[in-house]
Amino acid sequence: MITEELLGLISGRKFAALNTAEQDSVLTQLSPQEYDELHEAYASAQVGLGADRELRAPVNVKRTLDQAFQKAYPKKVPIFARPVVVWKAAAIFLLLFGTSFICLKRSLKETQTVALMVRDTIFVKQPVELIKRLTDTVIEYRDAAVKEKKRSLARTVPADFMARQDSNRIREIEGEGIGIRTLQAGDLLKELNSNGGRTMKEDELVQQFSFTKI
Amino acid sequence: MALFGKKDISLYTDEQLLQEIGRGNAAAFDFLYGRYADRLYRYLFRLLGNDTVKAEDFLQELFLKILHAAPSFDAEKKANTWMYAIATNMCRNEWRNTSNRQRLMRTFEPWEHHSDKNIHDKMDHAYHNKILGKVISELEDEDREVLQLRFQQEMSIREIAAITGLPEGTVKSRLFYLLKKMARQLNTVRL
Repeated sequence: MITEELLGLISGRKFAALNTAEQDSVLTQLSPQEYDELHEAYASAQVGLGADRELRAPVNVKRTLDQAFQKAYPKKVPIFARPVVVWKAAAIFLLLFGTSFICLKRSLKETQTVALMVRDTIFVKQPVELIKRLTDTVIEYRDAAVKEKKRSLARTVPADFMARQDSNRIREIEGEGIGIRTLQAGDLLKELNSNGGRTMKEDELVQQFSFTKI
Repeated sequence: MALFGKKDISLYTDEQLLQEIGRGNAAAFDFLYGRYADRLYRYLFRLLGNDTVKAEDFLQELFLKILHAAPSFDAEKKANTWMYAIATNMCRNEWRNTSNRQRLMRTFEPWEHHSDKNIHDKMDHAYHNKILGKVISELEDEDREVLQLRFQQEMSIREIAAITGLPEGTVKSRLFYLLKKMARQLNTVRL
């Protein structure tokens, strides 16, 4: 197999013109005679095809290509190189000046607003909302206390009365319009017997207090 | 690159020139054309059977392709092998489409307008051209490409492999085969 190095040697010199190292390298692959034949063949090909160097590309090809280039990449004139009418330049200047002025003014305003916001924050720090909440809680607490008192009265008064058997106290309570009264055992029986002929199950009092025996 | 000016375009590599063309730099296109137009024209001229008109058309078409493909050119690739590969493929397509391909391929007329008289005299040219013509007339398409890329375009084995799409080993063996064939022809003429 030919190598790039060997090809380089073949293209350049005859076998006799090579140094010892090069000759040794060549002899691993070719005989001196084979080498010289290849050298001559190489020279023939170079001379034959090398003569083509005189061939030149036609000029009209470049002209056509230049036109194609202009089409593919139209020339971009830099903005500062374009001719500008005076009034357009003046308009652009005014526009830029006006815009920058407005921007400057806005930036100043924005700075002031920042200062106001700081003051607001200080004001908000006062515990206004906390007071409101406390007041609400107090009102709710009172409402709940009144209801609880009424409920506790309704539950505790009869037990209290049975323990003390204080008639005056009972009257006081009755006087308050609560509508609780106490009966002696005999009166209770009378009261129960007044509903004679009826079953105990239908009795209102029994249903209310769940008494099954008297 | 210069700090306050553009780098001299003649110092640009082919790849950089292609990138510049992709950005619409007309000077870069002029420079790349100057570097390659003649070489590619010669290559096309031989591959297209010494047809100057066809070679001219193909050269124009080739540079148009380069012009339009430049913006998407992969800078990792080598520009010259990329351009030669386009040219080779264009010729291959032409061979497929041309009915008289064989006639075109078997014609080799050495370019006689050379003025290189320092190395060989006219007798030598006639002698070498006779041998070359005989060898080339018997070559296959792919061998012809390899021959031209090596002896006309003076490309390395690696470059030839990249252009033709052949493995480097195949390129080497083909070159060796071509040289041996020519050597045999030379012996025959001598005898």
